Amino acid sequence: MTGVPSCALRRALPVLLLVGALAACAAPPGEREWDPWEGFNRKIFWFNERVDDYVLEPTARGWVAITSQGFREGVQNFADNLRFPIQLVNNLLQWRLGDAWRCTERFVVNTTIGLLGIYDPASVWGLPPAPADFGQTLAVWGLEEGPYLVIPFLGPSDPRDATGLLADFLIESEVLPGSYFFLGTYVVATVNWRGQNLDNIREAREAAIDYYTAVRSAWLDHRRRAIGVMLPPDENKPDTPSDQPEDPYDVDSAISP
Amino acid sequence: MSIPRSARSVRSLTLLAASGLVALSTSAPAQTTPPASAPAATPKTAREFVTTTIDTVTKVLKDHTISSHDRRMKIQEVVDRWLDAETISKLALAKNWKAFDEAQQKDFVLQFRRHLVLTYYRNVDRYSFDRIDVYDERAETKGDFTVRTKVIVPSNDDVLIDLRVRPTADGTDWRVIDIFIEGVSLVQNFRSQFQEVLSNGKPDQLLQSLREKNEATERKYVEAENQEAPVGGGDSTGGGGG
Repeated sequence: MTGVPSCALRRALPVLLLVGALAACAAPPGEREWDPWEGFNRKIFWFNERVDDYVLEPTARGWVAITSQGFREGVQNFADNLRFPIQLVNNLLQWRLGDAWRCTERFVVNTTIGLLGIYDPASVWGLPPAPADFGQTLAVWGLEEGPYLVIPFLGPSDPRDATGLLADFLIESEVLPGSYFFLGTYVVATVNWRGQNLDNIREAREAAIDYYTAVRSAWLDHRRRAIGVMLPPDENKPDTPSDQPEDPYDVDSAISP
Repeated sequence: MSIPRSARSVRSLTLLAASGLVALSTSAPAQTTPPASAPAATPKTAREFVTTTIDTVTKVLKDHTISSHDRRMKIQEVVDRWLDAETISKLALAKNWKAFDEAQQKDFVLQFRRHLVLTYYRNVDRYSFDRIDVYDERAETKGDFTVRTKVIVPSNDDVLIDLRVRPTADGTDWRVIDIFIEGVSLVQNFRSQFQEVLSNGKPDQLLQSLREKNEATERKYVEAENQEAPVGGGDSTGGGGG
């Protein structure tokens, strides 16, 4: 496979892995949202918001105007189905063999009976998705999350996840038939997804007192949960507040300085 | 390929917005006035509390014979009643709580409750979900329970919503003290935001921006409601904003 972007990326991979590993040092204790690069992050965040205002959201509105809900679901399913190589590789790397098998079954069912993945009969037949990505794999291997990081165009991340994203990108570009196909699907899927969330995102922006912080906090929670499911219990795991030395739901200790 | 991080990250936020769903689902059970009798015994379990609450809210939401103004009022009323706004306020302000004087604390609880109730109302209202299933529960510290629910949305992924509920002081009922949407805690999210605002500003500034936000949101609802054609036959209350 494929073309220039992927070659260049492949060459860059070792460097990026190294950067990721270096950056991913442990957060200072007690810091739930470690954001030492906040000034820089806020600038990128602002930039991403403008990209959304001027390009992504208007495009998504146009897309919604010319497509039906059913069509958009088909696009979403198709894109999800193409994540199979990423899920298979990462489930295997995390030694989740049952999940690796299940995502294989899903891929076979949805690609054939589901007409190249446009439909998702597997979910209906008791084969729910078995998501896995390389950011998660790195976490399972013991790499720390590192500081919060906002990436131009892509949004919230951290060095570990950014590294994972790149690795997943390489896996995909290795497997899919060509870089144009790859990029094309990516772009369409992103616009499609944005179109499916027009109201949600508007509401989130309006509800926030400080949108940057709201996104950071939500992203960290969500991501840690996706990863935490795979990890042995530890004090940073947000899913089990009762395991934490300090109970965040104790009103008296919460309000004492 | 595909919708990777950008999508997923926004999804979590999205879910936060969707917490309307939640806030709403946190709302209220029917008028079971807690009998002052049973001293220690909790008459209903946390799970029963959540189930009744969800039923009530679902019923109101699916009732399209009343105007959206009335629907909003009803939802707000139940949410108001079944959220423990003071506890949520304290948890969300955390150590900053003590930077507020007593009047400011009162005002904060009021405005924050209003914010929660208002902001989430429309989220909830615009969602067309099939049903909400209560599928699990877990005991937590302080006698709390986390009750796990799943919102079944036709032609979309299920949304996982966990409610953390705490027994009331007399032990006869429950109140919602936090909502998790796909693992994103509402209390934690606001705690981060308030911390951010208060690190550069005074309590009054936070109160001011909360108040302005609430007023703007309320204005928007009222405008939309005024534009709405009167609903349901002879319903006199039809589109009036209030």
